[in-house]
Amino acid sequence: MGGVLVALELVQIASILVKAGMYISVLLAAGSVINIWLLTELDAAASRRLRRLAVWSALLGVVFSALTIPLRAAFFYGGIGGALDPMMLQIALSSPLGLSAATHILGLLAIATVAFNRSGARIFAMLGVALVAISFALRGHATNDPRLALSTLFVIHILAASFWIGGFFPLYDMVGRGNAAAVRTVERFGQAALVMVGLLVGAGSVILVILAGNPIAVLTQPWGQFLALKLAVVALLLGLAGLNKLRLTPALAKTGEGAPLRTSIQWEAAAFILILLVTATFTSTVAPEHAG
Amino acid sequence: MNLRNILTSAAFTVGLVLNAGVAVAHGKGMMTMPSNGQTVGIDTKVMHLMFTDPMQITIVKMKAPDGNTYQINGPAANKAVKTWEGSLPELAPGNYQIDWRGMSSDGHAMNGSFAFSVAN
Repeated sequence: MGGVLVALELVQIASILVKAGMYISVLLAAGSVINIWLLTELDAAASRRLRRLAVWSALLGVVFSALTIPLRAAFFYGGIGGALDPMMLQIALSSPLGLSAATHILGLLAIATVAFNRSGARIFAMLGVALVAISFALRGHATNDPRLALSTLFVIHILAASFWIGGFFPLYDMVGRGNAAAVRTVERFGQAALVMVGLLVGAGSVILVILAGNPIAVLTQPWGQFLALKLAVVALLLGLAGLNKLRLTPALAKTGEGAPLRTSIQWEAAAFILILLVTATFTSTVAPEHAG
Repeated sequence: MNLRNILTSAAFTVGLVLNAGVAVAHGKGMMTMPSNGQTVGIDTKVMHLMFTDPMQITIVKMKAPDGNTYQINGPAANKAVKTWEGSLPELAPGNYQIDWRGMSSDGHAMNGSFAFSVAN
């Protein structure tokens, strides 16, 4: 695994960082819209701030998604000059990555309409969320056989991950209030999380079995080792989520003291960013060889 | 602990964890002619990259013993082929390294390298 990273060149490092930025901004944009719809007890200020976050992360997501194309062209060319090479750009654009990036951008622009606080805009933004989730199924391993099963699983996985990352900011924002609406907001997110985290882990597990065959055997491959690292951080994240639900949320309800829960949410957000960084690294550098 | 400290420590942890492991060869399930480590004659005129699934080869570079890097021309970069044939320039005795890049049919960026020797 370390050998993979040592052998990386500048274009690949830039690609990984842009991909991680794309993951974070795109999932945050989609997840903010999901939580605007889910967390009905956000006060006006929190709701406005969450809409603003959705818009800014969507616009940032457009920039990162667009950057993936010249970076891929540079990789094809074997140097940064390829970023402007018409043939390499055309190959990148006409590839599944190009289609995926274009769908991303469309979805993100639809999400950005949530800036207009109208019910019509919200429905449009939810369509954007669906487009963003589908766009992840248009590239990479989601296009392998069995395509329909893998695509569906990836869409579920992405939607659940979006829901989770999109919850951090509004929960952090509301928990600072320490009032009854804050407690109800955290509890509502927690109830939804039981289903969504189950879907996230369940879909991820089935994807792993389809792609890698024997999940234990892939541990001998770099892909499996990156995945094991990702799953270790996922385990940490699940532990934090459990702590929030079982200990810190009841404490908030009893005392109105939100500081411990806010700290825990910060740690969760950091763990999530770490997971996306690891995911961007291994999906950019290594592929699984089916074992089993 | 504030968020900046958390992110710094997270980045540091990734750095530590990722510093140990094994190397990878991306783009297995392929054969080449000349093959890796093979010695061929100076009359060798073509090289082949052979894949189990169609692959778009976007660039092939050859590092020659004279210190120069040559681009090997073959089928167009936007054409997916199972067997890619490239024309080699005049070969002098010595060691050569080939680096290729491309895209698999599922859109993954692929690359690989191999080395061969030329003898009289």
